[in-house]
Amino acid sequence: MKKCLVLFLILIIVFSFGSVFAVENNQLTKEDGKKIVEFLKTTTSEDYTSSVSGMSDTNVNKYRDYFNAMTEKDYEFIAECFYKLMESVATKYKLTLSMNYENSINLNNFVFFIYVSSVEEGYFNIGCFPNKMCDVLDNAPLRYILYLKSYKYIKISTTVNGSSASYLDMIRINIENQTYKIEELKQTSLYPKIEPTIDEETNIINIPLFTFSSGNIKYLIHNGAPTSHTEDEYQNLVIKNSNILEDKKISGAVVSDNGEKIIYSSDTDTFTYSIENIENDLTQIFIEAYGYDSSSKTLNNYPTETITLNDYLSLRNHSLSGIVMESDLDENNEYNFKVNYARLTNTSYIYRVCSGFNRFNSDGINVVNSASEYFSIAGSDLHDVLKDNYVILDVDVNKPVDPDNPDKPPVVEPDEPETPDYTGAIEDVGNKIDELGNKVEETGKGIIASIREFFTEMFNNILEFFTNLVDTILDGIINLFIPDEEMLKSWVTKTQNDIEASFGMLGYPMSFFVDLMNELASTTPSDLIFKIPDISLPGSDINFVNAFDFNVSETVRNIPAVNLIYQTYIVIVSGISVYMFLSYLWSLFEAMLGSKDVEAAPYDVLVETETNKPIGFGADVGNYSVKRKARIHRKGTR
Amino acid sequence: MIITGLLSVVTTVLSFIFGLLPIPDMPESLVAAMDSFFELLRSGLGLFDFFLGPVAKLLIVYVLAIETVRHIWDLIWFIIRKIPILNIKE
Repeated sequence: MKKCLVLFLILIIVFSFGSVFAVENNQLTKEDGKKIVEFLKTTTSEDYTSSVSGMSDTNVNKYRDYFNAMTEKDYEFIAECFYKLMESVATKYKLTLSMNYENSINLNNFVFFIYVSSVEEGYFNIGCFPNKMCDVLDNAPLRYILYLKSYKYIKISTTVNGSSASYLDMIRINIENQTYKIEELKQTSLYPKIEPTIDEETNIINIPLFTFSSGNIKYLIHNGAPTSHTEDEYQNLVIKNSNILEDKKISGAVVSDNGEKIIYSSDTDTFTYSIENIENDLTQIFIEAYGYDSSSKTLNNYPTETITLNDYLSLRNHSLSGIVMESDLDENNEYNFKVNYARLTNTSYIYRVCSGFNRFNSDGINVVNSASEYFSIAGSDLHDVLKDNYVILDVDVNKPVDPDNPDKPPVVEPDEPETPDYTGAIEDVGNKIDELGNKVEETGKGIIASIREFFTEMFNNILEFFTNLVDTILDGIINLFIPDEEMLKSWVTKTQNDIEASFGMLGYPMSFFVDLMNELASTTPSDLIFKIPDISLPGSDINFVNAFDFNVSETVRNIPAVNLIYQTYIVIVSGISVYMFLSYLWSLFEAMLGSKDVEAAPYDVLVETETNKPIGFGADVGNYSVKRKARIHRKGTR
Repeated sequence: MIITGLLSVVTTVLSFIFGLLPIPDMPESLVAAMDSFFELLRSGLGLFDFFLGPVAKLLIVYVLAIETVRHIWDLIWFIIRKIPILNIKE
């Protein structure tokens, strides 16, 4: 087994050196966590947005000094926490991560929110970084991190694209015990679909928007999606953020129905996008938006909204009934419509004409004061209307029509006095008597049910008491013998630190192996990429081969036959590994148990086997065969 | 509680005993050399993953963990046996 271990270590070393010239690995490492802390140690006020109050040079210096004054132990620990959080998120959500330190720090997908607290709950936000996201996010001044040391706990949550709608994970850090715990944040879907509602009076689509954090419910009013129609296959979508006056910014994304984000941008108070091939590719538009209130410095995050493009007209729920097209194009190149006054409930109406995909061609207000009313719309405006058979009028046309004289308003006959009818009263009395009888019967049943309920409840309470008692006793016994997971982790960390400190250079090999284990266990699988450099004739500009990256893993995956062979190879390697590991464990197990027999054997037997050195847990597994002989020999002498 | 208490006692006793021994730290140059080795190892993990697969990698971690604990145990007892006042022969 020693040979197996040595073989594995040789493999590690060979692969490490083999990678010197050719392998690229983009995975995050512990060093990335350290670089974040290094960034925090070297920040200037320019690294934070000027809109964050209190971020003067003085405050930034204090904030920076805090991280510089951290002990090496705290530094390593905080760095590891950053790394662990990023690693967890990257693994779980399959994010491609890269970090660029040349320009301060650029975590392409991450924004960190840092919270502190002196108790386990009740954190408050002290800031976020990097700078580019701080431009749109509300933050308490980062200077509060100066007080970090006075707090026992730190919580760091991370998100993508700066939207709290997509909080990913959070890490709870206990500085005192040097422990942390990664938690998955309860979040809504990244693209929640919320149906818009229609205001029947104004015919405006109200899309409910609300913040995730503060709970302020606000509304983004969809003031009519239709806008200018540039070409048949193009459509501009405009959403005006008119109802949130204090919100000066609105940003968002238009996402196709398969979740693919098409456009991401921001504007002042209007959300305008041009969508190509709307008829073929899009049936719905998802909009994710957030607004920044500069006065109160709060960020309003809104969940993604859905607007079903082709269904917009049907939401209006009006019909052509009651409206008669009087003529085709007249001499003035206008269409004339006649509204049946008899079916109008109001004396005035607003008309709007729509066609195609949510486009208003024309609108206006007419006052109706005659038996019938005509209104005209330019023929050019109605060209598409007639083609698509859509004419939408905000006209109430629900009154019944006299079939003989449809243009005449219906005549309402006056009500005639009715003769008294006591039949109903007698029936009411009979019904009341029946109800009384039923009540009496129900009361009897109710008493029995109450008694049954009383005993059932009493029995349940007794049962619950004993259940709780047993649970409490079991929990107590379990807690008595099994240490808490967090405590065990902190003990391991503390013991490791103590051993390293006490053993000095003798303890370094142990640290080496522990680091090696952590390195192997913490890395996520990555593609094997060979970076082929430029190959050129020395002293000339002639290039035989241009530099390129060769992704071996992807190539293997893309060729089915090779992929099958590779997968089979991995299965075989895994099988051999498992077999060797089980053999190793079995040898270890037998060596430990066999050592007891060897120690208990007569001294002369041990002399024969030359294994009279003490054998404990750390005994050499390779000596197992010798020890086993000793045991057999001893049994043979009996 | 019981296991926690025992672990604390063991840790305290070992820390006290080994705290008395003046063992120097590892030279910085050697530590730096090993760090650079780790950098090489880290950059080569793609190759490692490709040829060994996740199962073998996980099992190597387990073997390393067991062997590390075994050698820590051996080292502790090696040093304890060298302390005359404790009079531990085996």
